[in-house]
Amino acid sequence: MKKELQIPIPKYPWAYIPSPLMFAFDEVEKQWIEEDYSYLGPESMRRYIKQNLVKVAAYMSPTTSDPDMLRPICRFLLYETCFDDYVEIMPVEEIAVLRDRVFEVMTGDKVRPDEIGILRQMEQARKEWIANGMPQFWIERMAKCFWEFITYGIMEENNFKFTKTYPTLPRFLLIRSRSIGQIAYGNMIDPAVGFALPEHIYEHPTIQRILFLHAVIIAIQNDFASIRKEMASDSDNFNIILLFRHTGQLSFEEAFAKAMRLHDDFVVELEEISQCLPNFSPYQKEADNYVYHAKLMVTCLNEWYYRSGTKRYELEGFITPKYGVEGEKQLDFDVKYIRQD
Amino acid sequence: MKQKDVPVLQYPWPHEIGAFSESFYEEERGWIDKDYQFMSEATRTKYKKHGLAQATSYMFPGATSLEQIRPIARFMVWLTLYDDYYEICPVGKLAGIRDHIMDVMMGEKPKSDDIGLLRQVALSREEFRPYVNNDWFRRWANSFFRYTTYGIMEETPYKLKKQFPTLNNLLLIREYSISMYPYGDPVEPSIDFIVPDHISKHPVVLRLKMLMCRIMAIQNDFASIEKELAVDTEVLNIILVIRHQYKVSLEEACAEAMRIHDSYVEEFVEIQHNLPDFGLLQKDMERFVHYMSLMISGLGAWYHTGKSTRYKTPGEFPKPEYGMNIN
Repeated sequence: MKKELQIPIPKYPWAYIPSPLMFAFDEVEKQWIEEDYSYLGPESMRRYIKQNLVKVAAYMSPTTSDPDMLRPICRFLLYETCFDDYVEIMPVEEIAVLRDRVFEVMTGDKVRPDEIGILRQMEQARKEWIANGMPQFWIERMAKCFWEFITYGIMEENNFKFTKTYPTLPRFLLIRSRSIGQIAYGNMIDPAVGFALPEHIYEHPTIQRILFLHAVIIAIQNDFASIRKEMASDSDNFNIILLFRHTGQLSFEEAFAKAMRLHDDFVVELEEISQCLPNFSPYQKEADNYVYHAKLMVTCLNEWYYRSGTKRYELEGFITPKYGVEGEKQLDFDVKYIRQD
Repeated sequence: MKQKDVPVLQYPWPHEIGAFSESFYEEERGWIDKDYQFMSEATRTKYKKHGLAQATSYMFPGATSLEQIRPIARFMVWLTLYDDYYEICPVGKLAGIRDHIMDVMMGEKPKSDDIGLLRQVALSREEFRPYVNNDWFRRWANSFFRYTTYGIMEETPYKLKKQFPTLNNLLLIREYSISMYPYGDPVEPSIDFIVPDHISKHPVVLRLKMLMCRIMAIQNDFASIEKELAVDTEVLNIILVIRHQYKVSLEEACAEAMRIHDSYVEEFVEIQHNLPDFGLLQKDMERFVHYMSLMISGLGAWYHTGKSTRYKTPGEFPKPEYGMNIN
């Protein structure tokens, strides 16, 4: 019998709310994948359909009950994740070209018929946001964050992946907080609540710190949830638990404890800062609500990993990147996730 | 607690003192007498003993000529006096003052009825010009905006209510109010290297600056603790915030503040030794980060060995005079 690895599930002092639109986009998702993601090949399409990623969007914006508001957010969730998977081990020069094209499309360029379908999804999401009343300054903010996700997240990670080197912890946190895609995805709070946070509030260091914290918390949360996948696919230098194991010669249990301590410190800081926000009048209520939703994203994504039944992190479920080799490494243990009291 | 009992913060790198540390006393007195007439004579007399221009050479040892360091020295005096003068200025009023100063930093001429403060910052700009470009001027003005908006203005409500912020909120505010974002920008002209805008926005550079500011904020709180203990309304010193939030002794609070300081220093060093690939500018970026680090250790050394009376002598720290009739 295989050994069992017991992994703790992170916990939070914030609410989990189930979404009323949990199943609303399951069918539509299949259609999007078949129409616009066929360039990935049939095997990847099959796996994406199995992963049922759009459900993450419903989980993470549980206060949204209007499907028209959630639709472009579902598109974003899917194209962000697919983009990330697609370029995972792509040379950075090639990524940069794609990145700049993505920015153009997100901010207003028309997609040509010969371009890959993911760009049509981006174009369509933009049109839906504008139809829903989202302002241009928000569109540009969202697109810029996506550009930074690619530049300071994915591309920086790839430099380490290609050289098979491990970052130091400070570099890891800077890169991982962006490569998780959550600083970009945090922009989905605005269309989910139907209010674009004014630029001067968004730029305030308190809000920026909150966005960094919610992203780095979600990154560590993801590292706990995806550990099996990352060990099986040999991409272990950007998982904090595996990083601690490697650079500190720690056992799994010690690495879990160390990663969870760091995670919990970030949670305490986020809670402490959000308890006394600066004076943002006349938008105090909106700013409070924004921060409330940032915390909801943390809790609700955590629940998605363990409640939704996704196959993304299981054998046969995960995606092989464009230049990847098919097939997963056999592991000599099973994993079991344990709730903490 | 006496200043001599406060532990001295340490850095795992040396400090350097530039060649011009003793060159500016005469000029500095001239600036104060000519353009800071809007302050009382007693206050100006105190400032002349603060040796602020001297600190410039401790913080920017890379400068190789008087011309190169003059705008930095002028800006050091300027920034310190601005900070002291507007300490308790109402937030609404300060916003207008801030915006006008930014216009001058970006090249507008001071108005004829402006106080001399505006002329001094215009002069700094003129003297910086041979060493910088417009991107740098924009960054410098923007740093000043952020320091005033997220630093001074965020501190005001806590000061007025005499209420301690939580530690994490304090760190966010002090990072800006210590004024090292705008005061750090002159590292670039002091070493004849202007960081290109796109590199300036890199998360690693931003993080290094954030660490530098937070380290120097704690450094300043250590250097001024005796002075601040003497006024029972001080709520923005990290040692006092820790003592308040965790209900510990002053000594324990010092130890905790020092631990935070040291963890920032450790992170700074780790990032410094593992910079990203900046291509052709790698050497220049290494030099830039090196001189950032010297700014930190240099100011630390100045607090302890410089000639300033600012923190050492009771009563030598002026009271804010904005809105007062000084005559």
